[in-house]
Amino acid sequence: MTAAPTTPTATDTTLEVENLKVDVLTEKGWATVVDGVSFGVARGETLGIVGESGSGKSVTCLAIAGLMPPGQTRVTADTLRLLEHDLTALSPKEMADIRGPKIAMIFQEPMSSLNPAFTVGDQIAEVLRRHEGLSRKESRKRAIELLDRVGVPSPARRALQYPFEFSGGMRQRVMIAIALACNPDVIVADEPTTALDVTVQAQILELLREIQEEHGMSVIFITHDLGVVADVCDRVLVMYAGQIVEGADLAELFADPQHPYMEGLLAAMPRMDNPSDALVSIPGHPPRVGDMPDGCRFHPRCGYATDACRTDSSPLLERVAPGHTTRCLRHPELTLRGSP
Amino acid sequence: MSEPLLEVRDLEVTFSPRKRLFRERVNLRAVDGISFDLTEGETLGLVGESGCGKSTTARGLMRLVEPSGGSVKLEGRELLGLPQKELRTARRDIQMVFQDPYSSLDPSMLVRDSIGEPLDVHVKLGRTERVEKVAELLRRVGLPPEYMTRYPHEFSGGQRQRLTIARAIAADPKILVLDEAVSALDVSTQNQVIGLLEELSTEIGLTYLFIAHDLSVVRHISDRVAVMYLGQIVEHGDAKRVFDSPAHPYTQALLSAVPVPSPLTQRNRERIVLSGDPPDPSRVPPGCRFHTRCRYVMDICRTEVPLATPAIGSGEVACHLHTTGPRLGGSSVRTMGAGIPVRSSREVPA
Repeated sequence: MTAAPTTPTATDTTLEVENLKVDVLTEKGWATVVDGVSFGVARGETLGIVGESGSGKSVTCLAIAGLMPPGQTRVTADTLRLLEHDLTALSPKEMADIRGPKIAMIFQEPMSSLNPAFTVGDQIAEVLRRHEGLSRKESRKRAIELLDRVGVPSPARRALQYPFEFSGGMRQRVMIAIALACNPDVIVADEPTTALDVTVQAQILELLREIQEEHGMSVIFITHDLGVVADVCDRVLVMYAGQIVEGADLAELFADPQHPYMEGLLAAMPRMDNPSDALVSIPGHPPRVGDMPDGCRFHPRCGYATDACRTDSSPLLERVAPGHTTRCLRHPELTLRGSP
Repeated sequence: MSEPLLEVRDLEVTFSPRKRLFRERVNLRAVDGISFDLTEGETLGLVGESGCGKSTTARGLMRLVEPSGGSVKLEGRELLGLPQKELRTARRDIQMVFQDPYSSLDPSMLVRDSIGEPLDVHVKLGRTERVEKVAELLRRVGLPPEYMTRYPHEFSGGQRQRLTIARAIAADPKILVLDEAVSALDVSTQNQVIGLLEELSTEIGLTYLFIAHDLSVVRHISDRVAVMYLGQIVEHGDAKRVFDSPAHPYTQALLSAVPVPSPLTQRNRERIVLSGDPPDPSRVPPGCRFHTRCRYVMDICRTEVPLATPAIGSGEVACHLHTTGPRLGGSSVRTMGAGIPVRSSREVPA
């Protein structure tokens, strides 16, 4: 597995990202969709990335996993380190060797991530043969064990079935089994429960939690649902228009948000436990790709914006407390409302 | 109470799919004896897991699929069995908004014509009147009238949903059936569309059947709620009563599964994780349909179908806990939570 640790950071941080930038080719030329994202993930930690659709949260993770289509996209970073590997220096072939044993992905739509023409057992076994070098027989046996582990009933029989014979929740369990097959150090879960019913979502979140406790892997959990974040994450990054605008430990972020966007997201969540409040929304829309406003990117939608927010260059991500950063010019003077 | 605007009684919708090619057809009753009323100006929320028949109920009462039994009365007039031509005029009063605003607007039609189409069918206006009416509809849903000469692709998801709402209210319907109408939108956009729906209901007295799987949204918008499981309503009542004191174990489990966006509350609340998926609707379990996943299951639940009984506060519940004994007699199922293990609370990382 992992090479012997040389420095303390090599064991504590499984993934380190410094100044990640992703450009995509649009009709009007290159446009930046992820702009200077930096973060690290500790072993055993669940890092949440939240934001509205189009904020760049999925692209960030696809870029890290080397899954952005070359040609139409450009990925650059000062540091992109997964364990002992410098991902910026790897060829696509070398990257493919790492995906699976070191970093695995779980996507929102399990139906489109599974091949409809192969049995579920074959698809898990294929990963094991490719990366672990298991024989046909061994890989088949291990696939059944994995299905059993992720809570698929009668795994030996189910391994011989095709994806269409599985419900949405069961397909997502299969995806987790595939992600788990090579015992990765980092799992990226991109909205893994968004398409599921709340009852099934609860089962899947429970399963992910158990597996993480068993294997101690790092999990990056992308979601737009702050309820799910409150349930599973240890630390959270908030993304807006391709940038991280706030980052903090879970409890602190919810109790004491330091960016008006996070305050807005919290206020906008309809609450089952407190339904009488009128629903609040953040006015307007996120900016379009390639059409970023001057100054703070959030200013056109921000109730606290002043002239400085509109005209100065984009504010920097500043540290407000240990482990808590925000990208807001006015954070020292603002008292924002949280939801502890 | 005033006369209900819409009266649905014992509605049944049956499909007969083949399980495999060349095999015999099986009878699958997607909606199995649903009854409810809609009173003018109210919002009824219909909730349940996917596959429970909430959308089929909506399609059945609009006769987009033909029900196999029951009765649907709109202002006292029976809709089932009505000839197609008369159904068309009746449908003017019930309009529908679907989940995906990308597939429910014709990409090759100008907004003006998409919104104007129901007017052509039901109202028949002159050209200038039609343009004026479309402009008024756009203003009503919060969009500038100039947008009428644009195509759907020029709009965001939230704006498109406003367009489909404008189209739905074009012919002045009495009832809007909203089938997951805000589910595909970001929370902020979703709230704006809900705000619009609330405005419309107070301004023009619209009545809503609001179908959604997001219970927080349903709680916010609904006056009354009906909970469906495997084609039947297992509990209904005032939204406040159903959410605050659920009487059916399924409602309780469903509510406990919704994550609350507050780490302290979320990690310390009681949670019931239902095991497995809902059973196959072509092989409905005998007795209470929920007994295979119910943590309070008793012997009688496996054999006898529970009848609806009044729940304390409002509405009804169909569960043996309330009829045999009766142990709960209509009160909240939460009162008997003691003694049954729930997952322990977890620490919030500081």
